[in-house]
Amino acid sequence: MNKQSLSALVRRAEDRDHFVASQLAQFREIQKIDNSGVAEYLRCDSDQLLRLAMCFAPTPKDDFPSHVQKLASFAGCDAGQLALLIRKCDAVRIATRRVAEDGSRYSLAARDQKEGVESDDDSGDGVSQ
Amino acid sequence: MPTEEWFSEIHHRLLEGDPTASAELAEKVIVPLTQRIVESNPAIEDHGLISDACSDAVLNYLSRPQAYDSQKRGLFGYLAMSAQGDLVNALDSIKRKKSREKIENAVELDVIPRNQLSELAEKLGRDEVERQIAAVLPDIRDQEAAMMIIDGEKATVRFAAVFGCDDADKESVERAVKRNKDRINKTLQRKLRPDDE
Repeated sequence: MNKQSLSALVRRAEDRDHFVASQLAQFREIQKIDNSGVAEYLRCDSDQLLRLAMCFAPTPKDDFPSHVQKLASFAGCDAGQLALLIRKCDAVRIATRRVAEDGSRYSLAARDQKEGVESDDDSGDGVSQ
Repeated sequence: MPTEEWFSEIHHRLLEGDPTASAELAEKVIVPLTQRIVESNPAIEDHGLISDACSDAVLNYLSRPQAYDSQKRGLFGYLAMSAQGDLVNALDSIKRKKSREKIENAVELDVIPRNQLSELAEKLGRDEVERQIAAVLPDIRDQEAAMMIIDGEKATVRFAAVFGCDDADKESVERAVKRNKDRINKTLQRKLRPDDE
């Protein structure tokens, strides 16, 4: 029951950014692998992966190397691989956010341009200058 | 089950932002918490609901440990109360959904689908349909519009002429025709019967 209950908890933690579970889930998606693939990447077993998943992910305020070292020692995984995994997920997250922001900026610009053209049309009195 | 001292220590570590305290608490608490909620709710067979409620209680606490007031109750009691609350909310939500579905199904059963009206009219024969329509729709204009609906008439302008609302602006005419057609359709769907009951 222990592993089953913990796995259910980790699955729900995947939706919350502040847990490592969220980054492990993102890494699974990026690499198109399953949990055993992630465990292999981090050089640990599935129980250690569950321990790691419930830890808090580093924030920009944290000292990244020592935070990662602490997580790796606690869960028994490879600190270097864990640092790479987290950095990769952060990079993808930032890139995704930028693409979304650029997309909405372009949409707004296109809308403004269209509205500008329409208001130019509306403001005309029908007489050619 | 961990001691109160252990809970107190882990709570302080969480407040200080210790990155592994969350995992230590989760490992120690999730099983006894789930067992407690299962025992308190013996009638609930869906253990998935219980598991979700316990998981959410733990995750909510870990996300905002400062919301827990250690002066009021022990941490385990706090988590159990939170899980029980989530479970009750989930059960209420399921109950509301089921009751909504029941009402919708009851209404559906009572109504003849619109596309079956013409089929039913064909089966009954035109005279019988006209007789039933006259019985349920006393207004002669409604009777004429009802026959047009059954015959598959679609033109708004023809219905507008029947309802006598064809001299208004286009939008008002469309609104008036739709309102009257909906009313007639509802009456037909509810009251037209395969045999004269």
